[in-house]
Amino acid sequence: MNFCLLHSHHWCKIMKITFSQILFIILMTGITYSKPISAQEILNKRINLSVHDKSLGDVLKLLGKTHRVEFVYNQDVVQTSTRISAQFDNQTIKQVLDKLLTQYHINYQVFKTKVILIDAQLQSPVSVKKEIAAIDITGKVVDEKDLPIPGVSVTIKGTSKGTITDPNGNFKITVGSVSDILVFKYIGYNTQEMPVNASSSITVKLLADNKSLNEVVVVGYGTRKKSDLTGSVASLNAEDIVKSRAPNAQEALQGRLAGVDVKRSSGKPGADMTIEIRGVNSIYGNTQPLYVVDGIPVSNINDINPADIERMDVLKDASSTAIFGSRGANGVVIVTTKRGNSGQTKISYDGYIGIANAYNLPQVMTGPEFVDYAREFYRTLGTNVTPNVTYTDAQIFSPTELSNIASGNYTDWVNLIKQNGLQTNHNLSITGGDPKSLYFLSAGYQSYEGTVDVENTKKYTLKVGLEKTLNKTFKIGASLYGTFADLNLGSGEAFRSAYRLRPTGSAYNADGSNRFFAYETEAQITNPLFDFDNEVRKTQYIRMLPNIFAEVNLFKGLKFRTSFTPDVTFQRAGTYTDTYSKIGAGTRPNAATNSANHLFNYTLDNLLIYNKTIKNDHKLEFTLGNSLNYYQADNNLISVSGLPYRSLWYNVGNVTTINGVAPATTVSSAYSKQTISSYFFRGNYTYKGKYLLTLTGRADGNSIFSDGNKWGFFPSAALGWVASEEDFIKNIDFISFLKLRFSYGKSGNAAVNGTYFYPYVTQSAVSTSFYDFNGANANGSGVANLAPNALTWEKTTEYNAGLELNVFSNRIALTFDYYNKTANGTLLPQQIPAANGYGTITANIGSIRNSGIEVGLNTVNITSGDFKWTTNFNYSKNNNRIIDLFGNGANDIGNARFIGEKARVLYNYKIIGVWQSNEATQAAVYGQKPGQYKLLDVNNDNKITADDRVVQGSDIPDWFGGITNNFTFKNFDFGITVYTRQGTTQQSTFLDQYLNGDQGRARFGAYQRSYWTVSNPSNTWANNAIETDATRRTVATYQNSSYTKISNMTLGYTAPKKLAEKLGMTSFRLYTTAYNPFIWTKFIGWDPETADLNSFGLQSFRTRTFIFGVNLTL
Amino acid sequence: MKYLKNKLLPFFLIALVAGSTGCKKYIDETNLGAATDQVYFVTKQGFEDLSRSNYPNLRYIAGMSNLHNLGTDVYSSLQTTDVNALNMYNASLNSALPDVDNYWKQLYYTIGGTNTTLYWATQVQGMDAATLNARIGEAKALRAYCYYLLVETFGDVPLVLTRTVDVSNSFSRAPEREVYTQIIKDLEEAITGLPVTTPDFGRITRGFAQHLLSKVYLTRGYKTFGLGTTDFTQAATLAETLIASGTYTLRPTYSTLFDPSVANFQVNSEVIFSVQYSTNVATNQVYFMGKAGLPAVAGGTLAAGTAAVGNAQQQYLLWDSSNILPIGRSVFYNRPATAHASVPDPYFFSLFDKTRDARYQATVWNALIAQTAGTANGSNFVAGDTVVYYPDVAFTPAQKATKKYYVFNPTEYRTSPFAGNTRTFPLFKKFRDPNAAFADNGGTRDTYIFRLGETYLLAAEAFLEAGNLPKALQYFNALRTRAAKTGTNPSSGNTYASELQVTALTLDDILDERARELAGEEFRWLELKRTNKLLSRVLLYNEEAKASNSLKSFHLLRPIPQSQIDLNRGAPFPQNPGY
Repeated sequence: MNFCLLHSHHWCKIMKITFSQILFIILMTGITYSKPISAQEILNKRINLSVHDKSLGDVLKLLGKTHRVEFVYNQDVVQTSTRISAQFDNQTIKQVLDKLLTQYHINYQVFKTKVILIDAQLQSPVSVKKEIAAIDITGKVVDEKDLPIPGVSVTIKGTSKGTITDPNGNFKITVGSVSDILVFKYIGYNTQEMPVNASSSITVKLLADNKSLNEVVVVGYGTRKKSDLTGSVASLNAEDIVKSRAPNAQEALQGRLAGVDVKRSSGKPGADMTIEIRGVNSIYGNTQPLYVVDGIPVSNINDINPADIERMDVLKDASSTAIFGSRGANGVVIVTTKRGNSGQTKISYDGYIGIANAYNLPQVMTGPEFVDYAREFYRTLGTNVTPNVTYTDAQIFSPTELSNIASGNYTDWVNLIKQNGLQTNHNLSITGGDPKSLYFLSAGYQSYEGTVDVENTKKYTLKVGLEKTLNKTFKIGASLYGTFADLNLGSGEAFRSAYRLRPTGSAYNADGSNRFFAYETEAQITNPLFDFDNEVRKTQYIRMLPNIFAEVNLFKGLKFRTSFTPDVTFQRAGTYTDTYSKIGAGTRPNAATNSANHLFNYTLDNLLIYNKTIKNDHKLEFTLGNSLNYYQADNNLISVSGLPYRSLWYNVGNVTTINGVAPATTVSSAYSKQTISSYFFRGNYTYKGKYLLTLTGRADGNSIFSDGNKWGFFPSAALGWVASEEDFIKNIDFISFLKLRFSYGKSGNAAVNGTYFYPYVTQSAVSTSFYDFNGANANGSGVANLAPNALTWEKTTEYNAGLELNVFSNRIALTFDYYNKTANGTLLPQQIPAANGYGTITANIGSIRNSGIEVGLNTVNITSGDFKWTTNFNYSKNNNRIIDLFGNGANDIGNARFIGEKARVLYNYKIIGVWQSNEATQAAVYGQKPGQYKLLDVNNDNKITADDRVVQGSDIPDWFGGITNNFTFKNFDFGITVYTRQGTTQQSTFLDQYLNGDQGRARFGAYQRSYWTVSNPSNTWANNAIETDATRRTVATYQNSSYTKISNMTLGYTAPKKLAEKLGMTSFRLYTTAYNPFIWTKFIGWDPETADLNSFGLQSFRTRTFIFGVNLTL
Repeated sequence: MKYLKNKLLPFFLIALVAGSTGCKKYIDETNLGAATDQVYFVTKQGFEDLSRSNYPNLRYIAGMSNLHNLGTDVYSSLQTTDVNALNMYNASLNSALPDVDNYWKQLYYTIGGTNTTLYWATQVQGMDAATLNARIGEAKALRAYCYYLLVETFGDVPLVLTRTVDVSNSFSRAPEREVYTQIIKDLEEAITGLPVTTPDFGRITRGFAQHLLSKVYLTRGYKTFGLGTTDFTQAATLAETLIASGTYTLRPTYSTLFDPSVANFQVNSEVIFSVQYSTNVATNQVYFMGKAGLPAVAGGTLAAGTAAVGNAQQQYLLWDSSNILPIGRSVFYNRPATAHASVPDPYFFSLFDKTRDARYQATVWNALIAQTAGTANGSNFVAGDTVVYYPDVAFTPAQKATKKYYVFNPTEYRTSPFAGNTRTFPLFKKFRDPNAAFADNGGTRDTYIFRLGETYLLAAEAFLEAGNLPKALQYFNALRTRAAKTGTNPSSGNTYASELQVTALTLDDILDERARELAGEEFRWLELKRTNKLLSRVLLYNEEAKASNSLKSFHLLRPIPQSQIDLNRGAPFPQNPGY
């Protein structure tokens, strides 16, 4: 059936084959690709050629390369092991070819720019003669535009007989019976089978294969063709990463991949992101995935410049992650950096400049509003005490404030610290080489200025590498990824102080100088303008990720690879707080810290890889390996106070008595080491590209666990069925590809260098406490924590069922996964009854389940001439539930963990309104009065007790998803990504501090809200002068933090080839991006993406960035 | 195959070496930077370290000023718009109150440390018997002190006497009576093991155990399950023995115990035990549950992650005078801490015989002096001028009008004309610390826990309750003799000391005397509770609690922290009635 007739004409336009598609086709088939010049002309070119002991294929490649002849052939045709030695002097290429090919019975024909090789033997009439009742079939193979496809292999199913189409797409074949089936194969197109039936002349239409099916996906310790995958893997390629224009690699994943939840870890410039894959897989342990860069597990990928990333593959199900054993349970993010291709030297530049701008700011009261608020606050306060108190302005405001109120001279503290931040990024890369060697070099510079003054991040990256194939047996290579980071963290206090200070204060003295305390009554919060210069926090580090490897081809199909990769970080940090900073309070002597952190990690991998294809139908792949991982950290810290002059942290030996306060110096240092030894294997078996089987297993021994608990084994198995290869589905026209997958496996989580699994956690180490007896040092050593000897990794069992369906010539590609994973023995640093003498102990006791669905949909909506519209849609729904805590079904109320609820919940009283004036009697039952929050009396016992607390939500989303639409029109492209994250409730740090925090005195600037007064019966916000209960005020800060945002809008212009060449370039693209330009949310606070983070050093304004950039290749 | 051998051998060797080392040795755990308990505490050095590690825990316990002072007869809260649950005894005084939770946790943490010490005392090698017995005595005395604070604050509490190896979540509340029996047992054993003196000033000695045991018997004497007169007599004997031992003597002048300009003011023969602080910042940390710093929720003035250093006692019982320009932020007057909200109420000031009792001037400033030039009260002041004055006898409005400085009469101590809505009253100088910056914490002075002055009052109270009035008067008057101003009262011709002597004595007199003698030192709430005087005296003298009028008899026990109830999953942990 031809669906084209049934649908709009848009569907009939074929997919445009992109350059990369063609590249893949070439790579996969071994077709030599050369620059297209008319082949006929070339054949007459006279050449000199000398070959010695080479295969035919090699000779053709050489000809192709040196003389720009493009050969097209089916690999089977030139499959010959005979070695050629020949000498041609001043002969035409035609003469050379005739001489060379005739001996192999290969014919050739010239078609446009290509020379097509055809196996002459198959067309030999001799062989036909042997057939009984032979039927001659003639036919034509065309593509979706009805254009002939030359070089298509045509075989009779079940035999080795076949032919190949000529330059006009025509073929001729002799079959034995009408029941024979012809198989048409051409790489890049879907294989088609057709029964001969009675007709002797047939036309076959081949449909272009989906690009993604031929995509090579990076999995642990190897690669797989996407169509052969049995596990659940989501990928983002370089094009997507570049177009998303995110400041860091992880952020590029946000909204693009189903099942991958990406969050900000801070609002500060250049801040890291956190990722949770398929939900929260540990009740309290680490939930971050394992990061693997070019095959090596690393602690984070913050230091990789996105411009250096070739692709990112996210392994989600246990079948994919089990190869990483004790560390794969939270998923694995594999980053592959760009390595270059052999061929011409390619020089690329990638750069942009942008402005970061604060927006979506929560409303705080203006000066006059605050004055009214404070007066009202004290009026209410006074009437609620016995005897009543009347407050005068002089008691509410200090003299400076009174004079500011009189003159109407208020201060907008937030404006004082806010700025537009300039961000720039430059990356220059050079790649090139020849078939036997490859080199790459890339240098980058990233600079991010924050929207709060002073804060900035600068990173310099350098990537160099060389790979060399020495001979048939050996290949070696080395590379280095180096980052130098210069982080100016700025003041941790300025942002918070700006929101705390009352608008009635003054930032400046009468003479224009900065005023330290904004008003007389505020003795603690200082003018943030001082902190910019006087609270200095800087960190610099060098991180090196060098790699050396060697590969040995032992014999056909068996390869040994060994690689050694250190990951070394040298970090230096300094802080300086002047007397005139918030911390210095104007009276403390200045203080400085000088610290160093050294991280030395390495990974040594040894792999044996065996590939074998038996009778074309059975494809086997085995990987066997062992790995050693070593993690060592040591650090030291010198902390002093009493520097005689502003030497920052560079002269910490020079301290003295200041203002009568004795100088102080403390020093400390620490060391930790962790080692992991692993053995693993993986076997892949593919039958006829139809039935897929993967088995993996890994054994890990980890030093951090006590003897007897060190080793664990993590197996998995997966099955795949490419149903579209089955005859009964092949006949269904509209199905281009259909695969069903099922996997089962176990993986673990030991959070290397994490917060709760760390070296020595199972030992009861002693820790120093400082004390003295009448000035004489009397330091002691106590037991730091109760040693959990039996501690071991969390173990996760996961089932995954997946469906991949491409329809309508692959124009609609759907991926659907259902998973169910259960982590057992998850880590709980449990609070324990204090009567034990310890507050917490870490134990493997909980169990948590994540189950959900993931939908990915890629569609080509319109492709008509110059215009193309594609859509990527993804949706993830995850059901996160604690299924057990202590093995007895009991909840853990003290830690707010409940069976059947999400791993992290807010558990407290529930506000159902505000007591109104006419409800005074009812309120009195609860010991409350009008103006206070009305709480839900869950058990209706007319008392609000601990039993009335309820679960009020979680920061773990119910679902999230993204839609990316890309439009190209001629040389313009436009892309827009919308991302949504729903079902979260979090405490708003903003409200906690500016609605609840220390409001007993209306001390701080306040959130602009309509709150309850006798004349304003708000049912949302209580009156803080009446509602004095901290718990109830805390509950009022819980907010719905769901949001929808446009995360990216990019408009680009790619110069036409001619224009680019005129400019001396291969390609040239200009673009402008609005990054995170809009957000829709009910959340009250700075940023729903950082809703509950501490305002000391982590919170900042929500920002959007407007970028202008260029990508060019020479 | 030869080709294989030659080329592959090195690689297989690498793989083999890597593989075999990976087996066992590679994943052994080595910690170059630290030692474990099994290795370290069996050595003499390690055990001594362990023993010393119990002392820093006391800094936090002794610093719980809100719990010890608020809601009592002589202390109330700083804010004139008082909402503090501990002072008001309102509905917010419940099981979620952070102060209560933290107190419970820190006391049990300290008990855990003493239990660990007592365990390793049985394992340690190379200790001489006398030192070992002293360390055991220190641990037992400290454990007894913690249980005393626990049982008085919470009533029935779990009695944990061995180190924790496996976590329990099924504690049950031992009856108060049993806890008292254990406290007495520990202290009696401690007395036999502890030396009378120590070269390490700040260590627990026999005097600590004797003083505490006297107080424990005295406390139990009031209980329904106590032995009444027998207990009072025991208490009296212990106190008398300690006083008579001559190990400790009263300082001749009260003020020299507190005036930092006096040499050895805090290291002298009257101090039985004090929590040590230091001018060395490195050894001046405050620990909560073994970690440097304060718990995140308490007070809330410290940024998360900021370790608290030093004492905060110099910040108690103050109001913020720094808003008065000529006074400003001065180290001389120290800075009040909002986290330590308790302040003396007018009743406190009324207790002093200001004419005869030298302790008034040693305890508070009745005048605040300009530290710099500046304007206040509409006038200009230069450094050294009086800016605020609190006359002993109220000024008339006419008298006030003649002064350019502020004058506040005793009736005006509950209000204030200054911004910030706090009271104004004579500032405490008893704990002033010239070495502490005008900032939170950072104090360098020791906190007295027991000194002989209190032993005299214990003796007086014990004899009074035991029915021996003459002996009670003897110790009571001995202390008042020291309290009196030196010299003769010009209006009567008698010495101040003789005029301060009393001939009749009630329990209220003793509590009044404690308020004067031990202002800011004693844990007032516990003393009132101990003597069954909390309800009556608080409702009589604490204006805020009186207005709130919600103090009930169930308040004699604090609520059990919700965390203990919630976490004790293995067994029911009943809340105290009323909460």
